Amino acid sequence: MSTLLRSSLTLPALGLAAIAAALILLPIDRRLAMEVLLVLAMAQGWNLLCGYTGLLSFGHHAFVGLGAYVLFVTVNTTGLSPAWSILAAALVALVVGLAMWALLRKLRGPYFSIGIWVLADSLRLLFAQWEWVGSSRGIVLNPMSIDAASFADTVFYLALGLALVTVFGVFALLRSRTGLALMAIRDNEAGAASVGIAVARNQLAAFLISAVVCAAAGAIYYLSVLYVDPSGAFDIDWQIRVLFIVIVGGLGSIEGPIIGIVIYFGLRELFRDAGDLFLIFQGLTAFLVPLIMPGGIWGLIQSRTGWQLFPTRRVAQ
Amino acid sequence: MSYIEAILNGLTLGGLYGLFGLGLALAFGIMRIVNIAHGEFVVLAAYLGVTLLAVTPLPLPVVVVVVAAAAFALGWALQATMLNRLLGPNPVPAMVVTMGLSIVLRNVLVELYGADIQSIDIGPLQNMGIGFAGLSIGLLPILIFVISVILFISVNLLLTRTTIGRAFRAAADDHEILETLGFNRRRIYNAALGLAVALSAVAGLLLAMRSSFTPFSGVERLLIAFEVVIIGGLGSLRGCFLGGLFLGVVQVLGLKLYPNAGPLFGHLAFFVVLLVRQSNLGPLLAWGRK
Repeated sequence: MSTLLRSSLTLPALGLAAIAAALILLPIDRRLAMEVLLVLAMAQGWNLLCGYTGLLSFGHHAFVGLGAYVLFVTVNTTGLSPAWSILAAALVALVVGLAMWALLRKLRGPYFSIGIWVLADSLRLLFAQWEWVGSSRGIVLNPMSIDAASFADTVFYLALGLALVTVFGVFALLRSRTGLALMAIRDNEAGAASVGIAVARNQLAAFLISAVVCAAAGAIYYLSVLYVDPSGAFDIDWQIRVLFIVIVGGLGSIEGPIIGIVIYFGLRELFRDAGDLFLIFQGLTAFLVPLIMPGGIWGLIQSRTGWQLFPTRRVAQ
Repeated sequence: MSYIEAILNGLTLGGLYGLFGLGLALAFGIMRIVNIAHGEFVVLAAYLGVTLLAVTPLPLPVVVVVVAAAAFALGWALQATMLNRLLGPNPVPAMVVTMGLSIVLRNVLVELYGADIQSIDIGPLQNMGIGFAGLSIGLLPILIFVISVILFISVNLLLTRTTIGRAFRAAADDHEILETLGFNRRRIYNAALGLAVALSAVAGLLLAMRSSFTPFSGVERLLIAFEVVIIGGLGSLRGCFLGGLFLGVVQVLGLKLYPNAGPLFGHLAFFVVLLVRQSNLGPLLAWGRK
């Protein structure tokens, strides 16, 4: 019999509430905060898939772009409000995610990673050819659909909501029975399968969750810039960013991506005037971390101290 | 350009694609490492070729040899200093490392050469062509195709007739037995990645003589290499070659039908093959695989 540490639930809840309150109340740059929150949601979603089920995806920018396009098309053609259109984006991501899974389900390891990359690239090329969605010119959001006065606040709160729902959702999921299965898969896939865990089904669930989160985040981000085009929305840079954040912070934990996000945006602001130098530095870090610090920063802290801010580990009784 | 000419052009292009795939397949087959920076090495070779031709008086064939040697050294060094430390059942660390390397290489190329489109000027050979039976086809593509066939045959001979080649195959099958026979596994791996990168570099340089490139072409090259490997079936030289030819023909034909969407047709063909493999037709169509 094993159990979770119930008593330690208050700390993460209070911590997140404090951060949310600080973001709302302090006079910060809400544009930057919005981007940070959206990338955090993406990183948590991607980490759920790659950190826990071992499926390393190099193609989640597919969902970022897809979510953005679905939102724009929904708002412009049906007149649905942008906030509700995010649900449409999530729904389409779910369906497309299922279709992708049907194609990729036999591919494992590196084949999955690059297979989904090819899918993402196909979507980029497809949207760049598709006249109905403006081909390579992209789409501008119908200006009648937004309220200019409250727009900046709206997207900020949408981003905050998505980030909180994602972090808490992933946390709750990992504390559930499914979470136990996911962590078992993370630690030993063959072992998990041998004790009766449906590895493929859990992988599919994690894949769909990560797809929906990335699509919603992409939808909100491009909503905030009011314009979407294929080369930007389906840019591999979205994927690289998330990869960097999760790898540097620590794969397979909730704390890791949070640390990664602080480092990523901190460095980006530092290198703001240095242009490509930041990208080179980003690549260099992703290059070196697995060699010198395989568990990322949080992995290092955890192995030294045994801390867990989001308690998901179970204790034998 | 008639369809027959398009198919011939696709075949000559496909020889190079086969070489891209061969480089990727060698590294995966022998070390179980997927080199995400594969495409960037291909592009790097093209830039090295451009630079050598511009600043040195070396003739083109010598430049090809120099680029191949440099690529071999680069592959060797990468395996010896980095990738040998990440061997094991989990492919993720090596993929992340080479992903990081690809970002570095891409952006260093942008810093050094700018993001503009480049091409290699090889003089009068560029426009020479031969005609037969009413068709005309460039001399350069034919020459490049011949070179890629020669390289495929050489790799085949290397793998079947030489000690190092047999060691490569043994390492792919069972590296522990290989070590009991007195081979140093890591040095075999170094040589294997050197060979893989050198093959792709030569292919990249030859492709640069046919079409233009930018620092961002690496992703496209990597995806082509990957598709060739999947279409051809892993672990077979013939599969790589045929997969490359197939993809080359599909792309050139696609480009002829829809001038902006050539790569998309390559991707679509790849997914069709993937679907066929998953359906019950798979075993019937999977000829040529082990």
